[in-house]
Amino acid sequence: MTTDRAQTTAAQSEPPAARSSRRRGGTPLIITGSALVAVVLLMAAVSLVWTPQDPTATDAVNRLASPSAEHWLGTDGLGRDIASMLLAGSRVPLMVGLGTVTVGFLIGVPIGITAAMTDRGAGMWIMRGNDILQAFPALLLAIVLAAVFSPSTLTAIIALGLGLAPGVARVARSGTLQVLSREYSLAARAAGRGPLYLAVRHVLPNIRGILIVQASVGFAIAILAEAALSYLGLGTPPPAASWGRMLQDGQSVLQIAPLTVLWPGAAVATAVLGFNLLGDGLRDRFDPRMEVSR
Amino acid sequence: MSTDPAERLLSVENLTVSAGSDQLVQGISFDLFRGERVGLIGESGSGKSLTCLSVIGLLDEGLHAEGSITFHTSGAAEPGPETEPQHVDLLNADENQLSAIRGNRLSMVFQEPMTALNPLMKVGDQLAEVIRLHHPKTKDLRPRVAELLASVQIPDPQRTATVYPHQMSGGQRQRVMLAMAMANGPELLLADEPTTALDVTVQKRVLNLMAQQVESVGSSLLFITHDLGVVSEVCDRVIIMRHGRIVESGPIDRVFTAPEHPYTRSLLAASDLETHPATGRLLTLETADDAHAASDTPPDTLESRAESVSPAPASPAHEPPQAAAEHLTLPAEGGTPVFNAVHSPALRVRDLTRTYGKPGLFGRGMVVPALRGVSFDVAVGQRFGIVGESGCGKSTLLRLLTKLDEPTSGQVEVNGEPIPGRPERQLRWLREAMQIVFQDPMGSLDPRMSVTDIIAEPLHGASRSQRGARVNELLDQVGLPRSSAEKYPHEFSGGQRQRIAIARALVTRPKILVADEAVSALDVSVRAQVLNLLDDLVEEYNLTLVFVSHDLNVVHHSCDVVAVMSAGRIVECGPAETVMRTPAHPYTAELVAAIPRVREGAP
Repeated sequence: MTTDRAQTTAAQSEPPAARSSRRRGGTPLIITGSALVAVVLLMAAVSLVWTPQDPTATDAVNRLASPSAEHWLGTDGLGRDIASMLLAGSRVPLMVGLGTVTVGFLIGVPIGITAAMTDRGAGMWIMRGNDILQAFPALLLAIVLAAVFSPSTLTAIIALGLGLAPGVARVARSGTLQVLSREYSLAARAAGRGPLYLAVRHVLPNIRGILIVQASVGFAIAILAEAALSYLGLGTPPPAASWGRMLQDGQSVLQIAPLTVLWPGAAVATAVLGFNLLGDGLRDRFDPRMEVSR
Repeated sequence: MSTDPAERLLSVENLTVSAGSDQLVQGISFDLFRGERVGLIGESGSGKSLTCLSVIGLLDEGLHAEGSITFHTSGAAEPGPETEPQHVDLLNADENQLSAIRGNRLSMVFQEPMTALNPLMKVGDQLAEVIRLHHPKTKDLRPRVAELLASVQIPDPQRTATVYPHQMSGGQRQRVMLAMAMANGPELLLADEPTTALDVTVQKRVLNLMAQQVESVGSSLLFITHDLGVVSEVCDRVIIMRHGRIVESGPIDRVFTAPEHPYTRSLLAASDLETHPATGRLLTLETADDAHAASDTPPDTLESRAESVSPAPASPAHEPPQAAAEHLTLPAEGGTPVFNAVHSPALRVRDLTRTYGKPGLFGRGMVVPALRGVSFDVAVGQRFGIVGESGCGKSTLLRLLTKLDEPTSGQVEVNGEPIPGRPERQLRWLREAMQIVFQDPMGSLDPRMSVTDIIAEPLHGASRSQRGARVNELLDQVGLPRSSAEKYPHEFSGGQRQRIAIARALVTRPKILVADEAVSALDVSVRAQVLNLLDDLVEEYNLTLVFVSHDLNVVHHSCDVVAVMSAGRIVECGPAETVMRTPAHPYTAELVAAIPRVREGAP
């Protein structure tokens, strides 16, 4: 009886479910960014199974060769095939990007959420510590770590991840504060739910959007930083191919063979631009401050 | 300027507003005559605001308006005796033509006084800007600005002209908005829910001011609102819209006393919180007609006719469980009394105080008392209403009662157990015994959680099947289909969301339910349904209800005992009927007097 009565009352007259009127922004950016990122991903995937030549094989006779059927993009100063190196070299930036974002998020997100959820005093101290970390240049940290532990992809990932974490923590904190001020967070507290439940069930799903944006931008920063480290000889050690080191190798023959620098430069630019555009597009779509709702 | 009353000022013909293939306004036509004050009434989604925005040409991109809106202005920007009357098609006018008219012959007051003024510009400069735009030759605008501010009864206009919007109250800001809108003596003033964001006592003053301004300048008024009471304060003619169509229009006296369309009838009933003559339940859109049609038929036949009304409690209104509460007011001098004192109450509050801020490191801090020594009891099974305007401390009080915040001093006892200062892990019983329904049905449901997860949130350690069973049971009780369980909040309307919030609050079978403005964000017709639902569930679950609202009318309907709060204290408390009929404290009297009445003699 209760059922019948209640159902009839609910069905009456209320307007149909309000449609989400969030504007779907940033779509062209997302498409362009995704396409560029896809190019890099495809290069990495292809290089796993096939490259035109062995990217590490040197050929003293064919040094600085022009593009040909055998060497599509020519060869470098040691006679290595540039096209093959370019393909093989795409794996490192992607790995560093993924590693950096993972390390940065594993450290940054818990710090940010904790800082927002503890009382104001403790939260403030956490964030001041975070500020000090942020003030320390990540590249410098990477150089120090490379000097202490010998240069490797892993040291680069750890150093860049530590550099990324404070920024992530800030974004996570501000997102968490917003979620905590919503009535559904109060309702969860009034339902006797503890901080861990709140963080996992309410905070994380609701800050997911801004975190994805942050990850995409972090990816771009990491790729650029890895190229810089490799260029300085502090990133991925030889003989593994790396865009950054290709730039460095090409620098000495820049005058006579500019193509040796152009190709890796274009590759880095493509990857960074791709992730940045993707990040911007996602921001336009996810950022609640830009949402247009009526 | 001619003042011929029959002269048309605005003609809307066959106006259609569409978003893609959706028609949001479906071919409406109406005329507005010079000097006339027309209320455009409708609930959310009725298209009233879109109509208004089409007139002033501020529709969102993505929305498309068709038809014609003709503005018969008496002249262009420069007032002069020789200006020819013009007929401007507002829908097809170019931006230049519109700019010359907007803010000059046609102006608008928006709903939200917080965001409608530029926060980085002094109030006087914003006013001056509006005048200068249309009268660029004027030299010193300060006297005119001061005059305008004075005309909207802003104290010390010279000084006020030099402050920033955040230094003013909401009511003052809305007056500044009104002054800006009236600055150039517009022929037509559009007002879109101009007082909805204001407290009732402030609302009353702003409405009076608006009526008076419009009259003295000789403007016409198109007043958009959902509130029938407000309309009757300022308008002479009303147009009632629903689902993008006009359902009824006519002189306000005729429409409000002898409404022709059933929707108008039910809207009036819902606004007045009219109850069914036989069952004592609030009239909703469906039941209103039954009640009116059958008001002379004997109650037993009526019972069967009002099919959506359950065989409700025989007594028309709920009886207080014990002897009527004592009617007390805050004495001008001396300590604060204990209001509504009873033996073994469900909720006991003593000398509760909460201040925000602290003195600060260098003595610059500010201490703001939000709650200043509140003492009262709520008896088991009682429906206790707390009424007050914004900033009176009612939300603070509610957070202290539910232990979402710690008091500065004082005591709260729930079923005899003290609450403040106890760690959360000792309060598991409280979280089950006491639940809250929040105001904003948008904000109180996590958009990323399914309805099942939302409703079952307070259930700790229940198995999947137990949760599912209980959620289904509650969906039935709050009148939502069981298929809702797998859906997400954005798929529901405001009223349905509030039902979900109520279901969540009842899932643990609490003893005490705290409702924070639970119906304030809802349309009037939905409000009646949700209040009926709350009534039923309070019976069914034997709840003690603490109902916080700014709306004395709603509290009067839903509660046995009412406490009126002002500036952090309870100023009056007593049986709802008594407080409403014979308010003893001057503040309560002002509050009661400020309630906009739809019809004389309505409750």
